[in-house]
Amino acid sequence: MKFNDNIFNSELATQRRAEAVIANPPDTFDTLLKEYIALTGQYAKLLKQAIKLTSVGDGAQRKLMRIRNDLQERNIRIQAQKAKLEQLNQKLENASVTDPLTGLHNRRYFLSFIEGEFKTILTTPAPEIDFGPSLLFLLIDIDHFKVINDTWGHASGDKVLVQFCDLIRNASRKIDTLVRWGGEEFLMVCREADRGYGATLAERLRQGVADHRFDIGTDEPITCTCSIGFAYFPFIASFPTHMGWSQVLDLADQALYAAKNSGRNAWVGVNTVEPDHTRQNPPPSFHGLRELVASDWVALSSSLGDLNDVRL
Amino acid sequence: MQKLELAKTVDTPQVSFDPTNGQFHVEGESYPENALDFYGPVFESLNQYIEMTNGPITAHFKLSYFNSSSSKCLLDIFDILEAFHSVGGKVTVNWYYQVEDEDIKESGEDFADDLSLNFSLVSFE
Repeated sequence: MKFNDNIFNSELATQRRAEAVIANPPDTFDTLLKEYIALTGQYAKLLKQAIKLTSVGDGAQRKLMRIRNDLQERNIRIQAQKAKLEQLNQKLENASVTDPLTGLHNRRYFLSFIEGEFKTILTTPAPEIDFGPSLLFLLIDIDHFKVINDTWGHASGDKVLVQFCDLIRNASRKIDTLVRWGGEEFLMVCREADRGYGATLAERLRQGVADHRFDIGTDEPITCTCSIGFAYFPFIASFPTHMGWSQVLDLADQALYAAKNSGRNAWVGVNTVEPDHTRQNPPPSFHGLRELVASDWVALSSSLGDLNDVRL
Repeated sequence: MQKLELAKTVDTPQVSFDPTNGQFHVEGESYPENALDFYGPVFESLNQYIEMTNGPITAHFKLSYFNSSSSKCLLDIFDILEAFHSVGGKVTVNWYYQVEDEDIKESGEDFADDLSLNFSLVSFE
């Protein structure tokens, strides 16, 4: 037996033989009948094969369809599981960047968020406002919080913290980011803050806290005050890379310290003075707020009417 | 006569035929690019065997998927076995299907239909 490249070789041979008989019919009826019987036999065999092949082929297709359907179902299940996992991940992620007591963001969140903000500001072209895009860093610290804890207990201290956060929240805009920075210290990072916003916000917060009656479950609600320091990034709009965000945050912290130092229930802001836009060179590097204030690049603002009362 | 041994590939099954005991195995999936290239040597080996001896043939088919060309070649293999059986050769066929694989089981029944061979459907886990 010889094999070419066709699985129907023997069937083709049968057909060729039948055609040869037609082209050149045998002389006798008996010979013709023999050929006819052989051809019918081949035909019957071929038909039987065709029937089996059709049935087997349908079976194979059914199997493939079933496998496909199984895969589709599995895929749907996997997609559902994936969505669930993503949801769970999101929850975990939220939990890992949230302070459980106050619901504010924690430091971890701030650190992941600030780099992006930083880049956005440095790459966004200055719009038509005075000093271009900026961030306000505003630090708030509850005055004498330790006394509250020591007098009324930590549970009461927690109540104060929660109500304090509500005050901050109510004073903030949607685009501001609120962070519990430390035990009783909070950071607000405000986008799109013009250079007057810090003073307005700080005064609103100072006043709001001082006026608030904190309900800690005692007969009489208690009062407390806060101190605030703020500074803007970019520190000098015409030289936006002169100070990084961490240096500006450090200035805000020093301003907060000055507010504490000056009697508390007060705010101190660090503003740059840019009398004209003609300065060609950035300022020298400054070490500390005191040195900065001594230069002609900075003007403080404060809730203390007389800036001479601000003790750096 | 030499033993036939074709290793399994992505699109062809493992095939073996041992002329010393007549054990014939086809196992795997079968959708070769050219069915005759693959099954030609199988036909040749079986034909050679039945011309030489009248010893028994035990054929085992354990296929999980095969295309239409392969089905045609399987039909031709059953033809060879049927022809051998009709001249007194002792032939046993085992057609294996995985439990719950109704389609492979039914294709075994299709192949068995109308054959006078000793044809068993054997399930495995």
